[in-house]
Amino acid sequence: MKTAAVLTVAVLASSFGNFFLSKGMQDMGSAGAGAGSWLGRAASHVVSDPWMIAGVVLLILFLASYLTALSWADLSFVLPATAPAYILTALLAKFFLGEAISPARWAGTLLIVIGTFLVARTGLVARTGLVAQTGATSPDLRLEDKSPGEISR
Amino acid sequence: MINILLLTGVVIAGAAGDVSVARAMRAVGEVSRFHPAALLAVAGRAGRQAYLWLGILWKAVAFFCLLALLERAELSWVVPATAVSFIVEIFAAKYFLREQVNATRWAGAVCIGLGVALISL
Repeated sequence: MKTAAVLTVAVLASSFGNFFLSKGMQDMGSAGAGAGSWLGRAASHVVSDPWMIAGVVLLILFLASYLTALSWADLSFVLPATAPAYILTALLAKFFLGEAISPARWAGTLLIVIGTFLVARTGLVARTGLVAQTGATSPDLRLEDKSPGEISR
Repeated sequence: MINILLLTGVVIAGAAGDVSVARAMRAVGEVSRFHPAALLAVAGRAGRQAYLWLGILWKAVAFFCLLALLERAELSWVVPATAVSFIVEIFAAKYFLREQVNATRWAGAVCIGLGVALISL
């Protein structure tokens, strides 16, 4: 329950944080060229524009809730659990920024969500893969102690 | 093209920041006591680590690259595109940290790569 609450905060904070920053950057205006002047304008925009301030505060809140969840839950759980933020961000972009999201972009976003699920898979799955891939070349001492039945689950 | 450069900046500077901060915190030692005085002492020790400031500098570079990207490109592209950092991390784990990367992770990396290609169409 505690985990669900913290992860919900993380998803909302990262989605709305990026949305606010996007909104804020569109207000900045592109008068005057040059990388140096851009950096100066961006830096003062971050501390003066309400959207930017809200965005930064939410990203800090995201980081705090993400790290809090990681202090007791595994990354292999936290990473996929926060992946819905990609979907929520796309919805915010569509409905509040008026971005036209093509079917290809929805499909790509979905693939990325699936990808983060797969990337986060560790534990027994990872160890099994490790034995299958490297048993011949660099045996891991901890794994050698295990019976074949344990490994090939 | 500039968007790809900025995305590279977000991902690489972000990763460099993580590595630098992790190195500084390893030098500081494990944080085991959490009352304010102890945390202040940790912050004091961390503040003397050059790697901490280097890490903060990298993180600032990554943040401003992200802002530049958000100014130029659509939010529905920028946020999922930053997922390429997972692919970079898997390669870094394999070739710099010599970790074993299993098939499921490679499949995830391929999924993310395809996804980023699709959102970029």
